[in-house]
Amino acid sequence: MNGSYLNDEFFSRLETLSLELRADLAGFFGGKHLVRTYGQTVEFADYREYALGDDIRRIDWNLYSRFEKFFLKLFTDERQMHTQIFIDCSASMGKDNPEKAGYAVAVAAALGYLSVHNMDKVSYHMIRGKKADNPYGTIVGKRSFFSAISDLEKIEFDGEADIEAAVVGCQDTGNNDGLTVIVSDFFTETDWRRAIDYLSYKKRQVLLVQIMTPEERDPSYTGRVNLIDSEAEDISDPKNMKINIDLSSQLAYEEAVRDFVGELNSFCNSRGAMFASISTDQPVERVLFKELLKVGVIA
Amino acid sequence: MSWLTPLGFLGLLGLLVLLIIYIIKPNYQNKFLSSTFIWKLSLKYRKKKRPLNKLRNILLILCQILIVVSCALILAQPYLAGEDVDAGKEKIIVIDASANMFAEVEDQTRFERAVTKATELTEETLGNGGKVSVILAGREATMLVQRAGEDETKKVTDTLASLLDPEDVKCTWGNGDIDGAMALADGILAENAGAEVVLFSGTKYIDDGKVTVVDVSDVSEWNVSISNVRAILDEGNYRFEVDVTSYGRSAPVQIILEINGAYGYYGSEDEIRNNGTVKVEYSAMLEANKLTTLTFGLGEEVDVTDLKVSAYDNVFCYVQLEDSLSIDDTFYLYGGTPLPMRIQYYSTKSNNFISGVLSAIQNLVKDDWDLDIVEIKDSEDAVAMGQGKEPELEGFDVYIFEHHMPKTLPTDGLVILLDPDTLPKNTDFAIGGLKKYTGMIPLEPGETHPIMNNVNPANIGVTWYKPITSYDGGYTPLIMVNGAPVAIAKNEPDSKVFVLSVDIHHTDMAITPEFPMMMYNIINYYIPTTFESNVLEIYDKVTLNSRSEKLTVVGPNDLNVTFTEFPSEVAADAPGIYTVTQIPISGQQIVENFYVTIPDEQCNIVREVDFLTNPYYPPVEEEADIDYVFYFALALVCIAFLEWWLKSREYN
Repeated sequence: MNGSYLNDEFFSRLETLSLELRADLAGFFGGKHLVRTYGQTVEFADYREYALGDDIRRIDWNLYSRFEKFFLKLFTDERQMHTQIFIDCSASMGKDNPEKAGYAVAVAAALGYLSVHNMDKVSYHMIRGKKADNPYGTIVGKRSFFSAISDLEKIEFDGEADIEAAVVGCQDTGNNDGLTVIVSDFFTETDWRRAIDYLSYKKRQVLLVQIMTPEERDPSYTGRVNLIDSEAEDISDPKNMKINIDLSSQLAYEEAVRDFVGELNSFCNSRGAMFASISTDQPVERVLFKELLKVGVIA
Repeated sequence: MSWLTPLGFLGLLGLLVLLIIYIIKPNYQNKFLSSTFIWKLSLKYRKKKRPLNKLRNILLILCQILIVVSCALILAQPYLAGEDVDAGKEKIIVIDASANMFAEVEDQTRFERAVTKATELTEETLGNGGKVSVILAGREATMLVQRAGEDETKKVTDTLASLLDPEDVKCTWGNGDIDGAMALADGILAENAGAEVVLFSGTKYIDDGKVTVVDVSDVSEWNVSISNVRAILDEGNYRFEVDVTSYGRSAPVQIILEINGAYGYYGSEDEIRNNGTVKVEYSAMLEANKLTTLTFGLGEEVDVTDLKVSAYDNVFCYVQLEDSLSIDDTFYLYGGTPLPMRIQYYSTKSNNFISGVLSAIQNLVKDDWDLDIVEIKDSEDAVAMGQGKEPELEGFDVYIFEHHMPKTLPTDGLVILLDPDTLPKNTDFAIGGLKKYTGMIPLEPGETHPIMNNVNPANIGVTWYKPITSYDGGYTPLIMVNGAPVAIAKNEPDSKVFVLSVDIHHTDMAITPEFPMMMYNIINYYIPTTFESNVLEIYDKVTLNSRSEKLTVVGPNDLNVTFTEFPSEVAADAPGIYTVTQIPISGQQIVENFYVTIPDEQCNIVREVDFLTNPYYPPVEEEADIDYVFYFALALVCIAFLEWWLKSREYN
């Protein structure tokens, strides 16, 4: 795979960023994400009256002197989240376009790095066909992360990807314990909406990152062409199509792209998911510092 | 539109090539891309929102078809034939209908030959798909047929045939309006400048311009023309001059002169005629086309001597021969005998002045009038004693009463009352008492009147006068003194009266020319000559005056018309003798004649004219064929540009 973005300089720029996850996630003990549940941190949250069984060390004696009642001082809790990153490894993501593949890997790596950087767990799921392989298991800590991403750049993009089946069929999607990121172009006939519904059902925070090349947004070729799909098995595959591309075709294509991206965005909004559609002609740093910052997943 | 190279339409085979190209569609170029997902999504947008795409494709095909067709049309060299400038295609036939076209040879006139040739030309032209217009150059040019096509052949030939109808002769006796005919041809030439104007005429034109002149004369034609006869009074006897010309050939011609109502003789004094006919025959060798004046009279310098005529009524001059045009073989000269006019002058204080005036007038009008003046002189004393003479009250054309008035006024002529002492019973005016002055009082002009032509009353002075105090509405005051009229005039059919209430003896009239002039005007006004001349040219207008209530004119072509208002006008529309008859108040019928000739130039059947007025020929260059190759090439470029534009719109 060409077009690698993963180097020290790239990750060093991410040091100043952190994942901004929902506070209602439960997560796991030991992380750095502040959640709504009360815990043992030094971050004050609230007061409540003392009840039998409470630890008397947490009674606020200053309040007792004033009200002659026992109040406990409550503190917020910090949890560890599990970031699951699904990478569409279909041919459309990079078989004939290494830049697009490298862009997808860079986004996935950046989000994974931010997770481990915030003491969260991260796992990479490679969607191939109806399955989502997790070749690196759950990664905790930067050492494990860098070990994993050295292989991440070597993944191959080929065949088809069924996002719905892969996500729903994933054995360890977790429940209310973190962020699920799907990096794909979503150029699939399968119903990706059900995958989002499923993740919403699992109360996971969902982020969809759509990656498209400039030519996919605004094709420059015209005339009588035989469009050969990278996922097609042979020349007679029905995914291929013959078309006489003229001005009207181009206008129709532009409108189709606009509607498709709009549908992704509106569906995500309806499900409380976040969505970012990025183009590979933008620097990846711009994506991280602007696009993902704009959708609120990075702070 | 026509095609110079019809084989160029083989270029339309290019349409087959175009169709083959469209049938064998070009291979699709493979394009590898990550996914066709969006393209397949776009198909429904395209179908839904771009229904005009098919039209766009059709437009492209149409443009290519039009390009091929345009190329083929250009190869075929299209052009639009301009208005046919071939002179043989359209004819404007002008038929000269002048009097010389009556010239006849072997029972066929020039006009008949012209119509026959015009008919042949018409049939030939229409048979070749051309057009024909026919203009008759008669007295006024007339468009008989305008731009008739082949389908109107019968109409045109029928129209031409109608020109030869003996009951309705279309040829005129005067000059044909050739200029008017050419002006009519202008309108047709404006539509087709290439039309040929063909004039059928017997007149030769030295310079006929662009007009084709077809000579319808015959070499055997000749014409002897008596163009004029004059009677010249010389020392009491008439000398007759005859203008005669032989056109076409030199020939001996016998000219006969019949002098009717003559007093005189020819040859021997023993054969003297009194109111009879003197006939003179004379043979002359006439040189071709040269006017010869023959003189008949007394003396040595005349062609015919021994003719002594001191009076005549009319002259009939003619030639006895068979020439081509007979209308000018005769000539009538009228006016040899002046009409009689009887004048009675009655006065009780007669004076030589009025007698002298009457004598002067008698001499002045002797060519038109034979004045018979009867003077009745009376004395006032005899009248006072009842022993005066009685003037005639009828039988005169003019009655002049001075001082003593008759009991009643005559009714059969003009009555002139000079200084009336009393008034007759049937007068319709009144005179006041005598006004006397010691010095001269100048007369003053009254209303403008023909009687006062060249008469200035201010040049006359009076010492005595009687003012006319009242008068009938029919009178016109002519001369005034101190605001009162002293001369009035009335001219009504049954009452012609002039009154001058000034005593000649108490004026200076005798030493001024005013009174003789006034008397002359009175005679001319009340008793005018019926017409000015006894010889007229055809189509002249004749002004007729009358001494009676009505006047009848009988002439050629069954002309018989009676006039009751004067002056009247009669048109001399045919050559020949016109007889004018009237019965004045006196009851004595007056018969006068005048003779109408055809124009001299029409008698000249071999006449040559310097140039023929041509119609205006518009420039024919503008009617040249229009080459459409440029326009088709321009269309081709436009179509090619349109296709390029559509293509550019398709791929951008």
